[in-house]
Amino acid sequence: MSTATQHAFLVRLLFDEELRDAFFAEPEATASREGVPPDDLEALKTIDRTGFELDAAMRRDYLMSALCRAYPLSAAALGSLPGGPRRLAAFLTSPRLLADPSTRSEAFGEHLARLLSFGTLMPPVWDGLVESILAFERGLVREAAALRRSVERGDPVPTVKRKPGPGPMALPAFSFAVELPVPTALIKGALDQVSAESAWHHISSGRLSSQRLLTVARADPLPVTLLARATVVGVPVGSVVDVTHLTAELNGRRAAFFAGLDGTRPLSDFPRSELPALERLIEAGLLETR
Amino acid sequence: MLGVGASLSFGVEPDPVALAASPGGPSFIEYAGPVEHGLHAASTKALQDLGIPVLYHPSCLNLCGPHPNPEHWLTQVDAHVKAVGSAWLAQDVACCFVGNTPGYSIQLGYFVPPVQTRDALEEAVDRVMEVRRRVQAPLLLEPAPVTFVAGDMDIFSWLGELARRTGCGLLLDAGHVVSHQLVAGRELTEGLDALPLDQVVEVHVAGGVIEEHEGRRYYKDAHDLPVLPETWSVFRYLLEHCPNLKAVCVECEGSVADTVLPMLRKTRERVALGAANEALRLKAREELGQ
Repeated sequence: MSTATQHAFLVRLLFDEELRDAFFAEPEATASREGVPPDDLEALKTIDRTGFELDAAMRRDYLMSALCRAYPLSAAALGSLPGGPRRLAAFLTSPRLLADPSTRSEAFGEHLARLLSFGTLMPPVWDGLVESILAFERGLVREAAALRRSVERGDPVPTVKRKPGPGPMALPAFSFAVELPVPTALIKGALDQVSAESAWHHISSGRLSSQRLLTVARADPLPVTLLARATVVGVPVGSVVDVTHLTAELNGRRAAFFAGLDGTRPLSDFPRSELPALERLIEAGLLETR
Repeated sequence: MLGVGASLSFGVEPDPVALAASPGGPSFIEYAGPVEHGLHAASTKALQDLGIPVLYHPSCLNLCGPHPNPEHWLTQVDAHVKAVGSAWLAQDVACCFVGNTPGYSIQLGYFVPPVQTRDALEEAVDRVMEVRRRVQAPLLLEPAPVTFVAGDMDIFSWLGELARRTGCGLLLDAGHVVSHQLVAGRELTEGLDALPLDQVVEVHVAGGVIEEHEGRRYYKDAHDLPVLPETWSVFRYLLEHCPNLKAVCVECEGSVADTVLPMLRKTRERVALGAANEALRLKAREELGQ
């Protein structure tokens, strides 16, 4: 008897809904198909299904709540589609569920991207909106993970400078910009004011409407640019690095402008009409002069 | 003799330090948290300055299952226990991580409870002894709450043998006992005499909820809710039958701050009247100001 095989199968059953259905319908056949010897199966055959499903549901809700926290809008959008919650929760069968939290969060973003690429049966304009939301949320996760890895490697913790200086202006490290066709307030409004903390609760309730988001996607464009920067909160303790994001939502399409900040031009080089906005971004810690 | 204390989380309400400083506040604070003890150093120091002991109760060790605890992880846990002066280390007997990379039970959604077989018990002895060899503090074993059971051994016999063979003490959570009794279809205190009750050092009491599904009842922890009558019944039994009980912990994470002190008082009254250990009865009376 291999406790390792038995234990591994038990853990898979806790996270894989399809495997669970198959197992409780035909325990011997399912175990055999999965390479679980009869001896290892004995202790699992007497499990009360109702109690097991309760445990699996609690675990699923906890983990999905944690995963969706980093992707509230894109997860809510994909979760609003028919079968959405189940497709989102399919991530729980991924081996990367058991990776460290940063890697797991990035992997969940890839899962959402894959769901989008499989086709949503929604018009392309809906897909395009969700793609841009997902790009922003994945950017937040990516930069936070990169900042954590940098600190864990022993690199100096970047300081947030908020005063304009004479040196050239640049986008600070661990920053990025993404354009959306409409303001985030409209997107959140269409998705029932979903938040990081409430995302999975909203999704699993089945009350979100993909059609409301489609209305927003089909509306006259009101493009915005989201600028974000990952920063360390407090002092890192060992491997515990607390990261947050400074963010700003600007009217218009400005991603190319920020991408072009190559750290060679001082603030004074920019048109006077733009200086107040650029100075505000510097004071907010989202741009810096070197 | 620690008396009646509370399990809380640092950095969230209700604030452990503020409660400990209040008249009628907890006589000790129990907490979970990362293995890096520096993260909460300021809070644990503040409690020590108030003369309030702290107990470290993590969710990061495999006390059963096939995945060993890496040496570096145990070294960190040992350092944490020493740094905060925790009188003992306690944790649910469960699997907190799978594979070679250690982690926390939240990465699996929650503890994965042990398979209750003879083979899994032998494995649990190995896991517990790994911890005992490296962590230089008494170790208390706690049964995790369950909604299902795998295996043919009764949990109290299984856990009792694990405690006897490894020389560990026991921490019994009254609500977790209720969960096992409901799954097994037993009366609330039936079979508890299979445990070495003279090795019970700590008892937990906490809010919970009993749900009915498919004609069966299941207990779930809910620390933000009041304590169930069923839990109080088990608690009374444990007070009366555990002659070496040193600490009673009210689990209050997520509770409304105003309910904590009255809850401590109610618990102290029960301890002062019903504890088999006279020293604990006297401590509870002292805490009540009698």
